[in-house]
Amino acid sequence: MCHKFQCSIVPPYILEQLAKQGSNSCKRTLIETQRIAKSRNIALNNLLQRTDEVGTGNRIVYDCLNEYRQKVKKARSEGEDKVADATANLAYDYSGYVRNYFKETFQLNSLDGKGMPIISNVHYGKAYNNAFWDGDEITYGDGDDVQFSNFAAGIDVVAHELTHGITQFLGNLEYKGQPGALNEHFSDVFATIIKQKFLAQDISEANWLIGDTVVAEGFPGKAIRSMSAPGTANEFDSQPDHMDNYYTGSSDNYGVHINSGIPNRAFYLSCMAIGIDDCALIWFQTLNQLWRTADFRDMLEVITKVANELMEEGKVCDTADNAILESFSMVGINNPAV
Amino acid sequence: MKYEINIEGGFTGIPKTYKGEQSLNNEEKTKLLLSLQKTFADENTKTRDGFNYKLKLTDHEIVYNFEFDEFNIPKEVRMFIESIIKK
Ligand SMILES: [Zn+2]
Repeated sequence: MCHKFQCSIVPPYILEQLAKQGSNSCKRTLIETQRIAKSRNIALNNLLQRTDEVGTGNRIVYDCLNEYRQKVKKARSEGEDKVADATANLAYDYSGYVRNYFKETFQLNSLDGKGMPIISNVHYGKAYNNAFWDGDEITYGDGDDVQFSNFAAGIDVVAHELTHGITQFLGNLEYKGQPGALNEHFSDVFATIIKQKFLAQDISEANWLIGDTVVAEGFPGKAIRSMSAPGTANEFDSQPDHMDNYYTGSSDNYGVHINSGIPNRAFYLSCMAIGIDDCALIWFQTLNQLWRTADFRDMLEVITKVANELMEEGKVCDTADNAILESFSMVGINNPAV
Repeated sequence: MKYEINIEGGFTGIPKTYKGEQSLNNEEKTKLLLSLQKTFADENTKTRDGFNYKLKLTDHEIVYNFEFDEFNIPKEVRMFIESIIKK
């Protein structure tokens, strides 16, 4: 016999079998069990959503202890005092600076707009020459001190990686070919803007370089990339500054770090024409409106539309659309409709 | 064992190639080759600026070709690459 009391701990698949065999009490219990499970799921979802809503982009920095693993040991959390490890403090301070820039300038709450925690990992691997975003968190290597030094110590590196996170939640540009080059472009754009804000520099005094503070003595160049003169930052720099020299090979996910030089130069020219603050707003709103497979021409179409809308609202100068069209044209990206 | 290692991508976007020959004792070779027999986890498609490791090993006449990202590279392969970079 199946009493209600006993049925409450019986697994659902057995209840289903018993219900099929005609037990009404098991049928009722099954329905009740499903109702409870459903309401539990709703409650859990609400709880998760509420957690999302109240997030404020709290920072957590982990020390990887030179292992190739993330989140090995917690080093510093939001609101805690400085710790002995200078690298952990830099990752904490710089990620806070980037988070606050996006919050104060565009009212963006953390990377996803919902206040997700900002997790950084420092001291990843041994003499590891890289920094990356993995979909959830950022990871920095110490560098080998021959070619590169500590990647967490570059405000532009931190801003670049965090912007990858923002891109994932806004345009979500896929990471290959032209959409991938645009993904890289947006990271370099906000790395440049934030670096200039951080250093309190005017566009005329800025060096427009990416990664100049993380290249070491043995590196044959002054930086990793140049926004103003793509292709000139170092001996390996193969970035084109015009569509005429567009890279068509398959390396680097079909040139995501290579062809980004083309829109990067257009951004630099636009800043020179209308100023970096107007460009920041236009580029951010454009990222908001792009989509996964958007290419360079899609970008031009969207960015001119965004510039026009912002001009009509009086939020950017009234030469913005023409200045941007001109800048893109100078790097060989033209609107087919014009 | 002959090797050719290509490391692409990364924040710097500067590719690195290492080519040469490395003598491994039997135990080291077995460990390395066994690690390449396992089923690898899927690539993390959300990674941005992650390294991509392309590995070609030639042991006598047998050629092994493998490709890994930051999250599915076997520990033994990473150690092998580290020892090459250190050279
Ligand atoms: Zn990047």
